[in-house]
Amino acid sequence: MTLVWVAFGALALADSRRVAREQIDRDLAFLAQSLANITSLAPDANVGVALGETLRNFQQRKSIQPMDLSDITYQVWSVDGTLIARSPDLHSPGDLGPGELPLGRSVERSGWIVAAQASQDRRIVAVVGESSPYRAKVAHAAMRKFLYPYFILALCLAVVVWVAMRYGLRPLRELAATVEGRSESDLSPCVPKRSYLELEPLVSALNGTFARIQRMLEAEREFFADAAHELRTPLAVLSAQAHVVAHESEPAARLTAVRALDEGIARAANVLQRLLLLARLDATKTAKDKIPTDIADLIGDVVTIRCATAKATGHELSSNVQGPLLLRCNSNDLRTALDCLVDNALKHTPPGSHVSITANIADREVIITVADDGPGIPPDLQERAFRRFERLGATQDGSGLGLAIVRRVTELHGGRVLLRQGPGGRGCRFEIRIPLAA
Amino acid sequence: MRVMLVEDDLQLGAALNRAFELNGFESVWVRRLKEARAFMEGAAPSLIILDLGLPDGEGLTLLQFVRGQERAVPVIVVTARDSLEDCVQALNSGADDYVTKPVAVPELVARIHAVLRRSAGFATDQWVFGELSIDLTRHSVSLSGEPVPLTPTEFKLLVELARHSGRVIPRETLIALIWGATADGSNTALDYQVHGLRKKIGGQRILTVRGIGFRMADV
Repeated sequence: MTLVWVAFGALALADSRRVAREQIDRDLAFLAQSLANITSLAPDANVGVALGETLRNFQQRKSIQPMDLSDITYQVWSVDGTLIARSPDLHSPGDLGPGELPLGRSVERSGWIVAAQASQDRRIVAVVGESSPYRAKVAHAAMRKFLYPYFILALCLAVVVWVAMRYGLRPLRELAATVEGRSESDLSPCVPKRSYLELEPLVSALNGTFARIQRMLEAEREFFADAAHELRTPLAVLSAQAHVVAHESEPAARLTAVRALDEGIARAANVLQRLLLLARLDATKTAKDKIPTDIADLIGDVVTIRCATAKATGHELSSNVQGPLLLRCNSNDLRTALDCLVDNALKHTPPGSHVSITANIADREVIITVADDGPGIPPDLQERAFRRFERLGATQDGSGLGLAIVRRVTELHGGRVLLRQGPGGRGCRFEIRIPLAA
Repeated sequence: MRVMLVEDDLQLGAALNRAFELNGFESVWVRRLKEARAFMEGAAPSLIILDLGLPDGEGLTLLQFVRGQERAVPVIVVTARDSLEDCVQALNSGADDYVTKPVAVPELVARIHAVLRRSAGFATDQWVFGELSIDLTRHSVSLSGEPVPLTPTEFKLLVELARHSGRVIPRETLIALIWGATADGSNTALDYQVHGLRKKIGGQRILTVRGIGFRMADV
């Protein structure tokens, strides 16, 4: 806005100069004409007096700057080149007889602007010129006439705008002060001191953000509280087991105690790992680092990891995947999810049970199935099973997080996990379904 | 002294059970409230370590059960729940102490001793009856400063009598406390042990209450 104002001011300045110049031209033309006519009509008159008379009359008309005789130079010639009269000047523009100057226009000569006009009977040529100081006065007068009020107007405008802005922005400033004045952890809805209609969208958006953050923090707090709770027993186990190791005097007994301590450490580590994994999965919205993965390979990995355990507990672990099955996914997380399902199946079924992993494509989805023929989960407990820290059944080890992890991983891949009846109506059948186009 | 540990976690129960044994207690480990109640029908633990989150019910119901019994067995609640409400509720329901996991074994053992002391009305783990002094942590007994060698069973008997000093212990209760569930021939065994103990510490210290049982003599 300042630029516009400056540009406008510059234009106005140029314009005022032009106005001044035009004014000068008009004045000179008038005076020269008058002088020529007077001299022609009354050859015996004193030119100086006549000019003085003319000037006085002239001044009664409109003029930007009063003019007196010292501002003017004049020469009156007859057309045959005889000088009739001239002004007593200190700095004369030289002899400007007929023919020296074009008629009807003003030109610059030696620091004067001069104009020549012929009398009506064309016998006399009068030359009138204005001095530089006078010219400057006129220019300044024009400027003053136009520019100074303009400045004052601009100043007033600026003040008005400034006041309006301050007043208009006050609600925003108040709002900012209100928000800043709250304590760091205050996430309650913000209620400004006075409600302004214009601010309402902003305030409600702000409160919406606060509410969201509050919900997020609550969920986090709950998670940490649950996690801390879940770690208590594994840590109590380690403490007790270490005590036993320290106090067993008999070597064989101590060896048993040390093995027990190993298992205790494995359990605590497992719970911690699951917790950290879940915390990481919670923090993202979609699966990251997706690469094309062959699901058959993934299943092969899980079987390799778990086959020793399965054999030790007398389970039959089998897998069946027809050919390569490519899916863009985070292979580590998906492998972990699969491992959780297989681990669950091995833990919750009696020795001798079958656990099978299969994968296929149907309805533009990749379906990975882990099924067992164990006791299964009763329908009323099925939804609970997916809840965090929920441990169904009597098993001790395990974090209660396995299914929560499976669900979160499949969600991040845009899919879902379903629990169905196992083969023959017994046992469990978990289906991970992930759309191919995800 | 026999501690009954009620804890469903396999690893924790096994470790605590062994830890108690290593610290000089007799320890019995059960994993369900049902088993806990069944055990208390037969034998009588000197103290119960109780976990609250049991698969077959709330651990606090066992507290009510214990309160309903004739003998008030002291109970220490050991649990993962750490909220103020849980603590206050447990103590108000009759628990003698409340500890949150994880708790170091030495601390738990010290609390067991403290609770046993309190319930027996003694200030330290050295119970003194005149010239007779029983040191519970060292499992030793001395008379007028001279150590008295006792068999483990005699020691157990003496401790139980001392714990109930001022009161009569019925024969059946004594038998349950010392040997667990009623065993055959235990009546004779009890008389035998009382006789042996009297010989070592003085017959006047153990009084027979006819038809009921025995009691420690007042000093």
